Amino acid sequence: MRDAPPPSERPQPDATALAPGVVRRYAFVTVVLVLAVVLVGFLRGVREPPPISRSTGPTVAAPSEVPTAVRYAEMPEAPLWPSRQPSTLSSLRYETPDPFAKVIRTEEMKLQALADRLRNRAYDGAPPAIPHGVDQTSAANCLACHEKGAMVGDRLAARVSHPHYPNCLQCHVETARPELGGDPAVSVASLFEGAGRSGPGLRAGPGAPPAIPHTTWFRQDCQSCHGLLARAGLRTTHPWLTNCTQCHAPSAELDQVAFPEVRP
Amino acid sequence: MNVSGLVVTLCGDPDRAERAAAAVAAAGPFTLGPRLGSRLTVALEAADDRAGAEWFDWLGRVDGVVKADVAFVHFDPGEEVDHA
Amino acid sequence: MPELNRREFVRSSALAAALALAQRQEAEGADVPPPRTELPVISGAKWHKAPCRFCGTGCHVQVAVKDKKVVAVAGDRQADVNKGMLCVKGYHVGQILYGKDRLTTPLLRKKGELVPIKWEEAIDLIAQRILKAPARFAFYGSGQWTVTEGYAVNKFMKAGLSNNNVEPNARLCMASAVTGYVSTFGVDEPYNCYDDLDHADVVILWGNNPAEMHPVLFSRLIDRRMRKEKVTLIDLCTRRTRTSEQADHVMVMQPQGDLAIANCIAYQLVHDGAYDKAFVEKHCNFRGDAKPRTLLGKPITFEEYKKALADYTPEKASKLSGLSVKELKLLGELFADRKKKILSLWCMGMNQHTQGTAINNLVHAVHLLSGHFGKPGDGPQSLTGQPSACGTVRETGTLCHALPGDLKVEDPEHRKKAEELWNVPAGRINDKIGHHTVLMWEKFCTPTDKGGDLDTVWVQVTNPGQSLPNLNKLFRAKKDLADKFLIVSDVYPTATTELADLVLPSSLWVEKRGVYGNSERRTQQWFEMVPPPGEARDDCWQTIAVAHRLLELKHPGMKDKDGHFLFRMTDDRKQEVEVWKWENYYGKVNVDERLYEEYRQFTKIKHKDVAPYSVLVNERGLRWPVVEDDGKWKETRYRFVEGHDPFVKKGTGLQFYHSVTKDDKALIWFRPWIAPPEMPDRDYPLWLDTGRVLEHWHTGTMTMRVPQLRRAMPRAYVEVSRDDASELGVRTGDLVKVQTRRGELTLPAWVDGRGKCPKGHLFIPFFDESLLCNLLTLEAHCPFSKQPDYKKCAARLSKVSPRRKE
Repeated sequence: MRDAPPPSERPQPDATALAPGVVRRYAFVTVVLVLAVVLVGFLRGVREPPPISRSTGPTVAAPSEVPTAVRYAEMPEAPLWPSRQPSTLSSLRYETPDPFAKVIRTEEMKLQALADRLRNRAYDGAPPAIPHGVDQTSAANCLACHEKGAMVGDRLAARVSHPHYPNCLQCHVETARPELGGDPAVSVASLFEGAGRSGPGLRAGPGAPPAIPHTTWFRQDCQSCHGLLARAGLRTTHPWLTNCTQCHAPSAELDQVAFPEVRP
Repeated sequence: MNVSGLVVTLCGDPDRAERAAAAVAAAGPFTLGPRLGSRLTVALEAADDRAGAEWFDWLGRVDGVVKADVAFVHFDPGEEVDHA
Repeated sequence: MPELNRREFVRSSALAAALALAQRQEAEGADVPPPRTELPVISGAKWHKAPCRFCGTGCHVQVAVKDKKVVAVAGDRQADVNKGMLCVKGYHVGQILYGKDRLTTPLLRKKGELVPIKWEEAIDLIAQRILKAPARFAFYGSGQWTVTEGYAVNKFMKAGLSNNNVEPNARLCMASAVTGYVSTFGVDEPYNCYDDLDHADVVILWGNNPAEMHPVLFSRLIDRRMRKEKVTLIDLCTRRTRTSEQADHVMVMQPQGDLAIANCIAYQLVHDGAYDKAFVEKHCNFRGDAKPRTLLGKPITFEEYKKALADYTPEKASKLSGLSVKELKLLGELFADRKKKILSLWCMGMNQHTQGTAINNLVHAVHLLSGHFGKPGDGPQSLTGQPSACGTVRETGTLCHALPGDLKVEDPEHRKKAEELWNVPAGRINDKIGHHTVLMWEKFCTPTDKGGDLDTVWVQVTNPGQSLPNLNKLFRAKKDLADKFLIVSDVYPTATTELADLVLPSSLWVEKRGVYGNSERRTQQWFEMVPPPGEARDDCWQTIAVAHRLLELKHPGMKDKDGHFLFRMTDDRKQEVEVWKWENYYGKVNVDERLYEEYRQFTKIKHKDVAPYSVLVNERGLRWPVVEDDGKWKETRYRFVEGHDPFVKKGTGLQFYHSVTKDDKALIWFRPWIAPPEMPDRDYPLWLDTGRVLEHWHTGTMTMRVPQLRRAMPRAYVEVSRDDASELGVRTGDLVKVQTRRGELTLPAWVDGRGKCPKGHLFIPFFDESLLCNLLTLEAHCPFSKQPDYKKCAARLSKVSPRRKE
């Protein structure tokens, strides 16, 4: 193993690259949560049927075993799928969530999801970092997984939230550079405290749909975070309604439609 | 009503950890359960979701508390459980 | 179930679940760092505009400020340059303010240690040091100086101390582009703008990697393909880069091959009679080298031009450039095609070049000769690397030969104009050119008794201890010279502060007011948004405070003709405001506005009229010349072009109104291929190239303190070709030693890394202060621009040890 970095600068895993231990823990929490709900629901006279328990799916390769793309220079000789990497994404069974399954979402789950989002973002609105190695840099390679999004167990390849651009790596960079052997000698001590969430969406009154609390610029595709393949705490409770902005109003200020100049 | 089961991880410094445990015990809505080393199990009973979230945030700000994990959540009617 | 019992039951269920989780956690041992649950929210933050702090692209960002801190950044959708997009550096620009080791107090070296002192003491110390020997003092600044910071220093030095030893790090960055423009068009700076990116059919990248260095511009170009527009990209490079991956033609040339390639294109145009005769006749004169060679050369005839090109047939040029005859012919045919709009872009590949002026001249020449000039999308355009290399260095003239407004210190008329505008007595401005950057540092690092005629250098907003070439000679040699005194104003400890005798903590970016000028003549303004940390203060205040201390010490130069302080500013009631006192600096007068408006007078002399400050406040920058028309301030997208430029005479179509030959014509230059000063040989068999990477900006002072950027690219490396690597048995991650005649460096190898070198070629990025590639580079520089060549020297490579075990 290379020298372990101090915890403060260890790359924070994203939900898309959870270490096995974390996957277990999260899965455990999920199961406990689900069981608790079932139990409590039962005791309360079963107000609604229990939600479908998500299986953890097939065994997920640890990040180090995830197949890496073939380098350009090796392409002529390389087999299509190197034999030492039998596990390819295509052989994994994606879960296909049922849009009509009940969605349970609590404030805690939302906060967890927001905190999880922030693990590989500097602030809400910053482009997320890439929690896996990138060898091939074309947009087509990125979109293989991120065009529609994919979820295997607790690993999530988020669907792109904005129109596709050819130069993905202009904004998204890796969270580590293992090729160069080891971690930076100097710690990356930063006092920056980014805004972790855009804020709760304001409602006109109880029961009214909340306004969109964040910018929709580069976050045009609501499905990316709120769709079926997304963190549980952020999922919409009504995925069959797809015209989101019909009810949820965007913010003119955050979308920079109107910016007051502050000074004369 | 919002009841959650939490695991509060206390810091390594025994003095601060004790003070933190005492502060949690002294705060109204927490019931302390067994403690495993640095891990303190608590039940949190709050008036509603928002209050629950606020107490959860409060926990994170207590000196000596490293983090709090959610193990259990109980919802009562009127909470954010949506129906298909 | 009764309510009480039910609650009891729920509570015990909750505790049981918690216990189960605690046991599970206990069994697993190690904890994952806790997720942050208390998240500051954006709502309630105030948003303000600012240009990005990094490169010369000049994107605008929107900065969210809450509780006197920057909490988020967004691309500015109203900005013409980036239209809401940013690159990864731009998205993280807010974090540069919050590195843990910000400098927060003045530090003086006492017995080898830097110890805190008071500001008053620091300012007095500098003033005393200057007063003792004003001519032995030099100011070294940067293309990151704001316009007013640079202007104030220039005035302080040239109008105050009669000392022309003012240089910017931009000398290392775009000086060859300046000499290229000046010797071709008679006046500096690109005539065109980024709109070209939206219109060009073909883009030629002359040793330029915009996918990493100007990502937003690159995307603006290749995003057109998503709209089904055809954009052909030709990458002339010495190593494959991320840009090459998007290119239609990747032409890998030999270092210095660009000179031969440009001349070969010109040869084909002339030989095949495919050049644009009408355009050339109407708008161009021919020029060639004088003996000895000079910046402006001598006039030559078309016949002489044709004869000089005879050495550059595709066959001959192929040998010099490494390109195939077929590739050279493709380029020749391309320029012969008048229907296609061709945009040439370049940056460090052509500028950091011992023939930097020459290759700039030649690229302009092929465009002029072929008539690919003056239409949107059709012309040559240089890109700059710093946010205000153009706005500050080139426009306010913080160079040893220059004065604000593109004026020159050797020109008596120019001096007279500047003295009038500055209201200083005639003769105040020294007519002798100061030391250019390489010479300045050589003199500073040479013992006084051996001709080292500089003993105090004040560095602002730059890091020469990392960015100068041949660091052992040009920087580190200072260490053993007791009578040399280095003053450094900066925001973080750097390779430069390591040898500093006095360190001053500065405000950074949105902690102060500022004006920048990007690489398409766009002047941009912003206000301060958050307070600087500790006792950090604006660079411009530091300069004014020292000037005022010198006034108190009776230095005569600090007074103008009327006996007033050089930086006198008065309030509404004509009372002088003591802006040299920090508590007044952000008080009754907007110092930035006053300095800018004073400077603006200079810009009218050479038709570079910048917009008034009050207009800029409400704009995302405006491209000069900005001229009032019908009550509106109008910017200029294309200079010299009728219909765009208000100074062009009607009916001329195109008028080079500052032309060298005073006949409104540009110059088509012939400059020969000349071998680089150091080439691979038996002892040092490899080419060594240095440069940048996407994640870091220049010496990494700022970006290495942004966790996201540092994790993505934590350290420098040397790119090794697959062939060289297998010959030496080197694998990615192995430690290797790179040696040149000037120094050596041990660092990890990256076989076919971020870029892909051809056999015999190495590349090292220069962002890492712990792995200084400039210990290896050569200080040889262009004879006219004085810009060193960081892209070519001879090196050897050896394996040190295998990669650390995983």
